[in-house]
Amino acid sequence: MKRFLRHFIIPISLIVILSICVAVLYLRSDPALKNVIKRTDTYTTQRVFDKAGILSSSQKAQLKELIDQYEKEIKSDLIIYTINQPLAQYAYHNDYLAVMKKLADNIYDQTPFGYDVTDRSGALLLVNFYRQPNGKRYFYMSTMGYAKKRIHGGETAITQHSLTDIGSAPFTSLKDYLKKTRRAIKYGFIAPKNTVLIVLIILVIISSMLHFWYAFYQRKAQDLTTAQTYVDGGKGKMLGYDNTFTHKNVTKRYDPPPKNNGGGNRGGGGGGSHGGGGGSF
Amino acid sequence: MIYTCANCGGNVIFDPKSQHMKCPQCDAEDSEKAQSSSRHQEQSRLQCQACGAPLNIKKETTACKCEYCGTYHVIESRLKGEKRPHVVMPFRLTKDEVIACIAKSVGSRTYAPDDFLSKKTIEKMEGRYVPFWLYDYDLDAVYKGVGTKVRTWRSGNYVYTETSYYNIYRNMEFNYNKIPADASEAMADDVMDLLEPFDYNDLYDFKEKYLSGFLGRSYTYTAHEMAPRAKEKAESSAKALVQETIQGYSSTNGKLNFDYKAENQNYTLLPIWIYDFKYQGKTYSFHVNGQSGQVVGIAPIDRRRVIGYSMAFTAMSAIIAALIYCVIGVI
Repeated sequence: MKRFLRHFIIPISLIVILSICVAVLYLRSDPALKNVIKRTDTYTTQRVFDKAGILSSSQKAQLKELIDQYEKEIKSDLIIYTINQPLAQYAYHNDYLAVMKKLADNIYDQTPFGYDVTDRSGALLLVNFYRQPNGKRYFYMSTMGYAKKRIHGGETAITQHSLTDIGSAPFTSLKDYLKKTRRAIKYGFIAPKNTVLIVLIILVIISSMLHFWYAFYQRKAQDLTTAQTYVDGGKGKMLGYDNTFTHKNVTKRYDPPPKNNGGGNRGGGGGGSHGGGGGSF
Repeated sequence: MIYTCANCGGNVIFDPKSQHMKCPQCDAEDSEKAQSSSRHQEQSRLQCQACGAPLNIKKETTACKCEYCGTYHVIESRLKGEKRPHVVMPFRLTKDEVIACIAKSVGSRTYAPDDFLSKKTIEKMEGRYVPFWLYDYDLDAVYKGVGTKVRTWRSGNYVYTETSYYNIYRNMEFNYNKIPADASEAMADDVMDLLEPFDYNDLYDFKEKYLSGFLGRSYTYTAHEMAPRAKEKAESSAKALVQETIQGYSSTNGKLNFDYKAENQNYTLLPIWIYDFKYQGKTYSFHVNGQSGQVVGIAPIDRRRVIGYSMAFTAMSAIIAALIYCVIGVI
């Protein structure tokens, strides 16, 4: 056991340190959640608007139940809105996602959604099951207030990670979406890009292989002798020394410096009251 | 020849700790009495002077231990004439100290089996005097070559490269003292090299009594036969030291020649403890410098432990990766 602990001291220490970090990051309470005054002017408690008619009554009831449970935890409204609407006439340059954004934001604004009196915290998911002329179907997540702050631009990641199969399995996908949204608002966790996961998996595989290889690597001993070991006084006596310059030659090569085109500023985006992101399926 | 205690008749051996002859039975110091074997016995099959059992020895053996009664013998007849060592370095480390050295070394070798240093096997470890030739050389090293220094700069649309050439000459004299080369066929050269260096302040004129308590062999290879190995060490050292004086060049191209002005060699015995451990049908040898405690050897590997530890490492890596993933997700 002693040998095991000595051998694994670094990974064990790392696990302990990272576990503490994760615990601190996930269990910290956000002060914004404590002084929330729930809105009373809402005229509807409905959260699942299945205008596309893709969910059964029991599925809608189950989703509503889940949403009720989550809303209490995250002090934000969670709305699911499905439609079956052609968008071609509204889409400028076939930018269907922009139309979806406008629609989602409008629905959120025109219906008094939003858990909190002050910032109307909530997330609305709009899913359009109509296949547009480009062959794609779109979804968009519109966020506001505290939910927007916590998701901090992760709407696209959340929707794309959970809704890829919504066409074939809408109920499961929506449940997955709700779970991911709850986790994002409660803990601020947005699943990193797949490349991060792939890099981490590769690192685990490489480090494991190196560790296995190292088990069979042994040096007989370190060589303790040096060039000076057997020389009297540790150094030789210089009898003759010369560094005479003899000649030099110079060559030149045509190599114009690269032209500097100048850098452009990346434009800053204007601030809107909604945050959001989406994709297609 | 065996050394017996004048007080109790026990077998007196050389004690590395006190650097005196000591009787293990009565702890008396310097109480030894040399008992030479008969001339007849020296010339025929050797027998233990204490119990009469035959001594199982090879033709180069100069000191041995009776397999039956444990008495240490020094074979005088093989330590005469050109086979008599000029100097000897007596053992400094006791068996217990050597066990501690090996334990410290193996401690850092995670996959060694648990019974690697078991009392049953470690007790069989013996100290052995290994024959070495020690070479002294006065060596002149002459380097002649050409060095270049390259400078590059830009002017307008052109890049200029200036290459300066220098004649380099070095003539250095080196006095090498006691470069060791092991002269025993039974010892691997690379292992013996790794046991170096020895502190030659501990070299004494040879006396047979230093061999009592240890095993010993005379040389297999003559000084002439081993000289190329010592010269290789000297030239490698001289080359590195000359190279140290040639700095600041972008590249060098030259030739180093050696001229041996004087050379001398001494036949010596150097102290080495050898621990043989049998594991899964294979013998693993650990050699320990009997003066400095430098340990040389490859420990056996317990494959079950390797598999277990590798699985544990993979699991821990996966946990670390998952935790990093969680941290990245919230920052």
